[in-house]
Amino acid sequence: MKEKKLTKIALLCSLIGILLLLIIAEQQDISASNIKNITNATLDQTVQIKGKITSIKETPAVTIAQVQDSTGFITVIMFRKEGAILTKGMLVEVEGMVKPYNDKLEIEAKLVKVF
Amino acid sequence: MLALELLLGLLIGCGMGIFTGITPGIHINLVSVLILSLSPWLLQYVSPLTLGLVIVGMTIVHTFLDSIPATFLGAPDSDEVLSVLPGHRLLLEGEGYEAVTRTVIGTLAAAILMVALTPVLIIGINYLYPLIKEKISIILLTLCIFFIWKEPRSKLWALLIFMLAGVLGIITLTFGLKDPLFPLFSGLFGTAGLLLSINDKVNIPEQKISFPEVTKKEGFSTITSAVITGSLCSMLPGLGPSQAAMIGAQFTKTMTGPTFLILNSALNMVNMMMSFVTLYAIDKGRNGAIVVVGQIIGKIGKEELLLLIAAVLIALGIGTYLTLALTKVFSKLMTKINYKKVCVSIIVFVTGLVVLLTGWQGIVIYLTATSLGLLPPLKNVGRSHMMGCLLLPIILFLLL
Repeated sequence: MKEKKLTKIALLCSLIGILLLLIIAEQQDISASNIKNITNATLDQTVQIKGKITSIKETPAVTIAQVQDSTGFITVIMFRKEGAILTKGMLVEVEGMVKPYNDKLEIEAKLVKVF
Repeated sequence: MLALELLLGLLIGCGMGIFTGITPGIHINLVSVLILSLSPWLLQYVSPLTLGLVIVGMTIVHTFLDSIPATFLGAPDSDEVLSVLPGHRLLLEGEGYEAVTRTVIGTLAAAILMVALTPVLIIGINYLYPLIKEKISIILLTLCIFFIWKEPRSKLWALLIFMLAGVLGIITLTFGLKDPLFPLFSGLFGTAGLLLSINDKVNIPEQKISFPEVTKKEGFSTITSAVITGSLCSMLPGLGPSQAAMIGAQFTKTMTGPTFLILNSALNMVNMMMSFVTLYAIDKGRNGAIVVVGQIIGKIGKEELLLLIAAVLIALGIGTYLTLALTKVFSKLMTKINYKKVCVSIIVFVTGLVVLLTGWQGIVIYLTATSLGLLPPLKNVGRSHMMGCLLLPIILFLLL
């Protein structure tokens, strides 16, 4: 094997990789980890998002937070136990079910992890 | 737009891989954990997939490039030629470029074969893993006895080093440090070798730029053996490429030093690629950096796996070009620079990082690990017995 052959194989790998990446990225959406991917299609499904708490409101029963990532923001509803230690500006990972509320979508959190 | 963001992320990762690859002591696992801790902040600006591809790019380029410091640094005195590693032996013969090129061939070939075999490997893992799941501790214990038994020079020292590393591993993992493996591995596998190298009078000869002759038969049997043993070993925790290399070497006839370079680098890549497969199939990544990719992306489905494979293919090309080009630069530089000063600056840099990241507890582990790391080369036994630092805790954890 000569060096030229090796670099040719390497170049071919990269080109195939770029082509594959373009096709996949073109087709979708890919991950439900982005807030913008939470649509009616993900209703009643469990999703996972990561982002920053931009506002937070506590009521006797639930904590309501706005979580923002690079693609948008969404309301996250947490029951007392999960929402107890959260404050504005915290970076969190939320796993929960997508639910409709007043014509909008929100996440009912099952698990909230603070970074 | 997403494609562009993903490509950019991958390229940034490749850039970071250059830094981690050619700097001894900077491990991708460490950088990946740093990225993970910054991820909630970073994810406000980029998608999780992009961040995942940053780590993939870094990991692949790192896998290619880390053979440069492994070959060009840490070489012992040529009088100790019996215990010298194959890469160092070629370096001392003026063939450092050839040594690194062999690792490039191994890495690239193994990666291509692994990409092609991904569907088969997923089926294989899904079938085999449930069968061995309950017997992992016994398999690991048997393999550890096998590694010590196969030590050609001193079985007693091999056993002692394995046990000492194991005890050190148990203490380190129960210390409660954030990055316990960093001071442990830097000491065992990094600083110890560099310290010995400073002590020796190393004269690096003029380096030739020549391409190695690898016959089709040699390449085929080595890569096949790497893929089989590496894939099987990836189902077992604690077994790294060096243990897989010891098993793989048993199945490859006429295992010479230069062939071992291909085998070892191929196994590194198999280990990496299998982590994607195990993450997808059994939700377990065996490589620290890939585990972080899984944590950032979330669930790895078919599309995510395909995207990761696409990223690997792109990074393979970049890694190959970068390694060949940078090795030429290193080959010229090595004869001109003060070898001792380079080794000392790396030790100072790594020690500084240990202090910064892990504090006094880390330093205690680091110093103990460094002292232990001096033993294998001094006693002429394989350094891989020090992997007892992970294997012993895992076996005890599974058995007790």
